[in-house]
Amino acid sequence: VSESQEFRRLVDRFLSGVSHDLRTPLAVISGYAELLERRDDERLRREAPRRIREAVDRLASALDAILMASALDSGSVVPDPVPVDLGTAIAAVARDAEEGEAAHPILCERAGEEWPVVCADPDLVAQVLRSLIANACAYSPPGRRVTIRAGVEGDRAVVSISDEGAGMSGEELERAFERFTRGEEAAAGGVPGSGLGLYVARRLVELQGGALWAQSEPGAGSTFRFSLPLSAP
Amino acid sequence: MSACRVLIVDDDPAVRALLATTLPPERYEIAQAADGREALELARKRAPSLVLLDWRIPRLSGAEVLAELKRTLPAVPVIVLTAEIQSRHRHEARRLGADLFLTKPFSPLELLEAIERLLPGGEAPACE
Repeated sequence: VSESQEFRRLVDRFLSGVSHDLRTPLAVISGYAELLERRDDERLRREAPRRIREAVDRLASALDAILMASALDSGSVVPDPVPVDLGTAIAAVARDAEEGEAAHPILCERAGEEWPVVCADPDLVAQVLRSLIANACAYSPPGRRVTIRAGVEGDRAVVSISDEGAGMSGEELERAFERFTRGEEAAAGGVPGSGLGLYVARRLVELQGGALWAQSEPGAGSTFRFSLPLSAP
Repeated sequence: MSACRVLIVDDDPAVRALLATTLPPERYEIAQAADGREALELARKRAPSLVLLDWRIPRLSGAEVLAELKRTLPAVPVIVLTAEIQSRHRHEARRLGADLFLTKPFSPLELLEAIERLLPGGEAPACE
């Protein structure tokens, strides 16, 4: 495959993904709005507002991911690093995720006596954590635990997010960080999501001097790890 | 008059719910599939009167499902629904025998009219 063919394939997948992520929730919003306007149906009146709200949330998340991916590509995301206590950051994101994704208990653990403190942009760290937790929840059946663990390795903090889901094959793992790639199981299970989350998360970590990688095998769950430089004591 | 059996194929549960809500339950019996393989399995078992088919689905693409449906159940109308905007998808769907190709977002009531036009018996479909 030539370079220009590969480029066209990536652009095509990007446009197709953007179109899918925006038009699908729009179809749900406009569809229920039209039915509400034209039909007098008690069940519809009860169900439609919730469906519309969920679709608006999806649309907002899709827009955020697309805008952040574009901002990263154009080099306009500039981190503002300060000391960030990972215990506080992880607890806040885990609490929000449990409120939103009640189907998954989230366990937060630290490897050492204290939570590591990293030198990073707190908003970007929160976005990476949100993305990885959402990914773990999306790719595992309801009720299965998601474990977040933080520790120190050399001059870096390493955070791992593990799920008990379907896992990924080697090929899926390689492609997981490309734009608009989703695991087969999630797609088949109707997991909403763009496939931009992991791409954005990896770029945000790298922008702050860290790395993001994953280990997984089909049927045995996945673990995503990221490292960030420790804050000077 | 017996109910028409409509097979809804879409990997997105919210879109499946919208399509199911669009079809009045007193006139339509609904089966739902989230991927291409499930769609073909349900089509074999349930002999649908009409299929609503998303173009971008996992485990067999919309195009593969459409080709197989037109090979095994040539008389069953298939309406393709898609978020793809590039015309080559429309051309491919037409070439494979799609009876209608609609881009999301679509009007549910216009879709319902189209379904009623395509079913045997026209606006008051009489399905077996």
